[in-house]
Amino acid sequence: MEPILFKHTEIPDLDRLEVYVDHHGYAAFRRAITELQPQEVTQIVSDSGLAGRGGAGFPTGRKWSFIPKSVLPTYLVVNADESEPGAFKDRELMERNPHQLLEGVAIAAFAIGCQKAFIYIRGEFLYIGEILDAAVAEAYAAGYLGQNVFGSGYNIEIVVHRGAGAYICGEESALLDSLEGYRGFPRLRPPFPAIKGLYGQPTVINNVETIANVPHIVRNGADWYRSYGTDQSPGTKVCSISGPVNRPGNYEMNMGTTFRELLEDRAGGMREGKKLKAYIPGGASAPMLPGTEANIDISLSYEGYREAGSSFGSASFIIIPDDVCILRAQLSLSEFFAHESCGKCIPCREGTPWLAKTVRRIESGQGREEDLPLLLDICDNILGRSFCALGDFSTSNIVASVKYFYDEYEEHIRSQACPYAHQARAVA
Amino acid sequence: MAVLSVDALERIDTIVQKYPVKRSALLPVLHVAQNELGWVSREAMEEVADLLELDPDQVEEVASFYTMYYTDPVGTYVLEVCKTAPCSFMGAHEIIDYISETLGIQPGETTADGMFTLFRVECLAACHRAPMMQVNHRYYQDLTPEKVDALITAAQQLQLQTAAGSGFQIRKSWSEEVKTEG
Amino acid sequence: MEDHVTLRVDGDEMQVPKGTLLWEACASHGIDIPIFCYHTKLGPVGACRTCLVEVEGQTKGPITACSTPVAEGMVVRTRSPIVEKAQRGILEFLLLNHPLDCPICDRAGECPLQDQTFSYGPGTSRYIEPKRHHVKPIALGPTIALDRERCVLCWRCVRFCAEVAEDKSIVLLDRGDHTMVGTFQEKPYVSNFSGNVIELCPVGALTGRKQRFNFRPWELQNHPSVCPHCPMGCNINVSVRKNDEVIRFLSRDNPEVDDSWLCDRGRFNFEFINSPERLRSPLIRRGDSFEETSWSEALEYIANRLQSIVEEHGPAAVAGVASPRLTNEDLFVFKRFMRDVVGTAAVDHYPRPQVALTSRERTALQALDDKLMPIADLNGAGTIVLLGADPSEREPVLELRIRQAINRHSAQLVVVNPHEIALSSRANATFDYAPERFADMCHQLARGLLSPVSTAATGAISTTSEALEAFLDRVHRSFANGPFAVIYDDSFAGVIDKGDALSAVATFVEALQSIGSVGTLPLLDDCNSMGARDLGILPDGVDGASWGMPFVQRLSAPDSPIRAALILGSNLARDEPDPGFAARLRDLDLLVVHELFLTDTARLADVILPAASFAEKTGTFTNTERRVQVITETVPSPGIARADWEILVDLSQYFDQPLSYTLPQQIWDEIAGRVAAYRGLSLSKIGPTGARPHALQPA
Ligand SMILES: Cc1cc2nc3c(=O)[nH]c(=O)nc-3n(C[C@H](O)[C@H](O)[C@H](O)COP(=O)(O)O)c2cc1C
Ligand code: SF4
Ligand code: FES
Repeated sequence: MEPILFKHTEIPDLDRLEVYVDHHGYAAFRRAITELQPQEVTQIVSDSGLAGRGGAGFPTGRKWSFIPKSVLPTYLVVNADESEPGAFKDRELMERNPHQLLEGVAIAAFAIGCQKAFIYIRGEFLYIGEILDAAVAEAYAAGYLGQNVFGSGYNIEIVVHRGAGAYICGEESALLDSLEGYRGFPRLRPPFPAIKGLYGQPTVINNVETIANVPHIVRNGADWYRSYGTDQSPGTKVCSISGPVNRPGNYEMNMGTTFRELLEDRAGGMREGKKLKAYIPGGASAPMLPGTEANIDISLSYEGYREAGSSFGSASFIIIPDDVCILRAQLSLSEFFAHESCGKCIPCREGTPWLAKTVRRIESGQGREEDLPLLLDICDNILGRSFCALGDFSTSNIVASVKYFYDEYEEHIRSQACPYAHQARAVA
Repeated sequence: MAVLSVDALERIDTIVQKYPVKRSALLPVLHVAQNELGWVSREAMEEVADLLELDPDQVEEVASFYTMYYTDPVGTYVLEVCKTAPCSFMGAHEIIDYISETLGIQPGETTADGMFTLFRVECLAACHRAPMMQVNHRYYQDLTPEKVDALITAAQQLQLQTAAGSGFQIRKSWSEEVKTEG
Repeated sequence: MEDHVTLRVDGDEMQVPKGTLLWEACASHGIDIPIFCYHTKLGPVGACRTCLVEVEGQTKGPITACSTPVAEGMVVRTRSPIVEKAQRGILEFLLLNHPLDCPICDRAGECPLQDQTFSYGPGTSRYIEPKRHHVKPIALGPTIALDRERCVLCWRCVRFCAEVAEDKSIVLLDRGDHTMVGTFQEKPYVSNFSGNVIELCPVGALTGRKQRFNFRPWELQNHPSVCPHCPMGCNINVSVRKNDEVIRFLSRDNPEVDDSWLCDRGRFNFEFINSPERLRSPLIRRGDSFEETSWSEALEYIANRLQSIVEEHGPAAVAGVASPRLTNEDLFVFKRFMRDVVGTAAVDHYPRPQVALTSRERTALQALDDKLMPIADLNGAGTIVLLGADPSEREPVLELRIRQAINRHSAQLVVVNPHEIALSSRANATFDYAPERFADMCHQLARGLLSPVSTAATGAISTTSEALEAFLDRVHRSFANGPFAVIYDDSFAGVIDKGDALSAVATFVEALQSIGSVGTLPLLDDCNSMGARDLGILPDGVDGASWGMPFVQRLSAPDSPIRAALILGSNLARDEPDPGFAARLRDLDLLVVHELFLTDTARLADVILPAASFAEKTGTFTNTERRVQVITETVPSPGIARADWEILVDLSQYFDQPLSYTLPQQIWDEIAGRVAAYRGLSLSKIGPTGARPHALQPA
């Protein structure tokens, strides 16, 4: 398969504007603003079946169509917060092919009548900010962005905005609060961002990868896009794979191919001496799956992982090897959520540290018989009760790890110690 | 008391221009302040508040929420090692221990000479190059004890060379020199 | 009912206005849903998740009643296994890190967390990890103590500072389970409204430093009353311990007046009531000192002296001054005593009036009074004009009403003031002037309003210049949106041309009327200044209001006819700037002073009569918008102190035409029958939140 989003893996220096332009760069944008109406652009994207790549998989064209026609200004905000453990795809997309994102932004902005778009990158992406800033400046200078682009009368300005360290700012409404200069607290909904978003104006928030698809779809058409992937999950997906495999990294996969292909062919399989114990398919928020043959053969698609009882999410595959204690893996995940809870709502603020402390206690050999039902009940009291999905996310792997690795939990409690104590440290 | 340089104020001015609402510039402006001073001090928050027409309370409320702002002084080089699951499977804790021993500080502490501060942090989106850390928010990946030694030595030498210079220059030149092999 | 929706809650159908929040809808039908973060006076945030209810068709689980608007056909369950489990779960989370120090907590006994845990909570905690610890309690500022371990992070205090008082001083710091409330770098929390956060706090995290650890809520009884500290007339509950000690003032929501807020000046000023310095019995002068005496001896002495002065010099030699902190009942009896018992017209109230008004100025005053508006109508104002007035200084809670009108009802604000005031930062336009040129400023604005911008140069004002054009343009832009609410400070503090000032305000208001309708609100001096005017406690006043020569002026005149004076609660010796004035009081043949304390003025008296404070008597006050509100006796007076009206009724028994009131209600009935401003306003119409006389209610 020829890459769509990952052309940089084949074309050297694609991050340079000339090279990008040589490879059809900004042609789709030109076409959109000189030949198409905004609604037509939205229609193409709708027809393509492109779904949000930020995790939730919401149909992108639908999202754009919610923007009211008569309320100005409108805003487009690109979610480049990429802070979920296991995810590092947007980083590569921005680092290696910044103009692909900028062109996508320009087209999406045109489709929703926006003249000022923001790219919210996580604060730690200092160098990505520098790359994007330089690319924006280049594109301005070359007349691909700015006032009256291609003589169409359309103006587009792109602002790169750095966050400052907070996973919650990947949640779209918290992102807006953060972009407005507040603590990153998620907002009450309704009103939804499409009605009242940034500065109270209609706003679309899309993931980097989602937007990066847009130039290709507009240039090649919806049918072309649908020739990739499955019926329910058209297109390709950039999958991040990390952990003890031979070639960890990002791979653009045709949707519908199997995880086995990603693990064995692309990532080169497990490192020598390591076996697959379990893996997390969609970043820390997706329930882990044991490394059974059946689970290795799941198709890389939203429906594939839904059916397997997990979630494709951002397609961030975390490989858990057999020499890692599942409680240690879980502890790391639980501590992540406790650390990243914004503190706005009670179930998540109080529940996530409770989960982490309880897992830590069991792991360190002080577990009690009643701790397992307790863990599950705490999850029950958070799930669906918290203000935003972060709370829910914090429960998914507890439930999964207890379900699939009950014996390991029990063993810790029974022997009042970690059976992996002699092995590599996964806990501090 | 004004603590920001003319240069910083100019950069802040450019940043503020980008936003339809001044307050939106708060995060980037705090970055500028921290970049200049090494941390976000009381005076810095007051000055930022003044520049953005906010109350200092509103600035601290925000600054204290985000992990990247140091609301206490830190060393010239801040080593932030990722400890989250994918990195931890690949030896992150061993690297933390190694740095800890080499520098003689626990995570959260600063060396007596004010050169290094060590933090354990959550996932930095470099899981495929684990273990990894950021030093002054630049990436250093695929860490081994040898690489850590090299980094520390380079930093110490730079510190000697530019002892007369400001902290800001040191951090900049160093991060450029040993920049991204990642 | 198009503007209503029908929903079903726990099987019962209800109809409520569209847009109502589900919690409010349930509350209005007597269905209790627990809340912490929600507060009816603050915007919903949906943070605590205690108010979860089940709504049919919601696939994502229970939703927060506090932040969900009702919808047509909604089917809601507030008691179901799912809801009960959710409530227990949330309360368990809330208590994880709570210190459970109820036995030593000020809030125990009136603590929502305690109550809800009892009603909805789990029986025991399953939490065995170490709790979060904080240094406790710390002083958040001069008035408030903070116990972070008890805090449940409802952020009501934070939202109060951000949304209501807009001083932003209490904020959330840090994040996740490290989140805490605090101030910038531990800077003290200083605010005119700090006390409100004590009441907003649903646990014992924020407490009043004055009251900490000296009472238990269940020892207290709350009596409805009205704050006596300014003419705003905010409603309060007076908390009394063991029937004789006032422990605190709490707010008592009157949406028309205070909207549930109190200022610190009002809230924390109750200690005077219990003060050991209070006068407990009549005192009679013996040379340079005072001697305790009985009521009968004191009153008989006063009566004899008054009668002989009247015989010798005529009734006009007797004058009376009353404080506008007295009740309408006190003032009415005072006036009757002076006029009908002694036979003199020489009455006045102090502070004010300071100058005699010309007939033109009286007309102006009447014109302004005719437009007196209800405070709550500020919410409907297009533009609020502060004309030489600073509500934050004079009637602080009015500042909050103005902020509310701006924030929730999009009112514009114009500040016309010689210097910056607290509200200036919210102003859409400001006009300043040299303090002594207040009247000029009003006239200039009035002329500006009346002259069309384009023709301004041709004559309305004599000079033409760019500056003038600019000024006119600014005037026209600033006053473009009616209806207008003009708030003026009727003391004209610092203004030299006091009399002119009144007419100037009237002129401005008249000019403004050419653009839109205008309501006025004066800032007055004391809690019953309006009542004192309405009852005609004015110099030369015989019937109705009149503003002849004020007492101070009269007594200071070289040929003053006054030989005897009754001063009820006014501290002229302290407040009059003329140092010779105290000597004039001392030189009187007879000076009788009713007082709570041995004030500078009382020290000059021949007889001092101990008076009951507002907390020790029943009666009415009339606030700034002419709302008559009831205060009730909550504690006994110290010693044998009595209400001013009672003292006067007793004193009148020594005269030929004694007064015969025995109850304050009797007095009000008579006021409602005889005083024009209050005609027909019977006590039954006044009710717990007061009433404005009918004639003045907008049609
Ligand atoms: C706690 C939390 C963290 C999230 N982090 C990210 C993120 O880092 N990047 C992202 O694109 N979406 C993230 N999301 C999803 C966004 O809220 C949102 O759904 C997405 O940006 C929409 O873009 P899409 O439709 O293009 O996927 C997160 C959601 C939650 C609840
Ligand atoms: S679930 Fe609650 S505390 Fe957690 S991140 Fe969302 S709003 Fe914040
Ligand atoms: S009262 Fe509804 S969430 Fe707090």
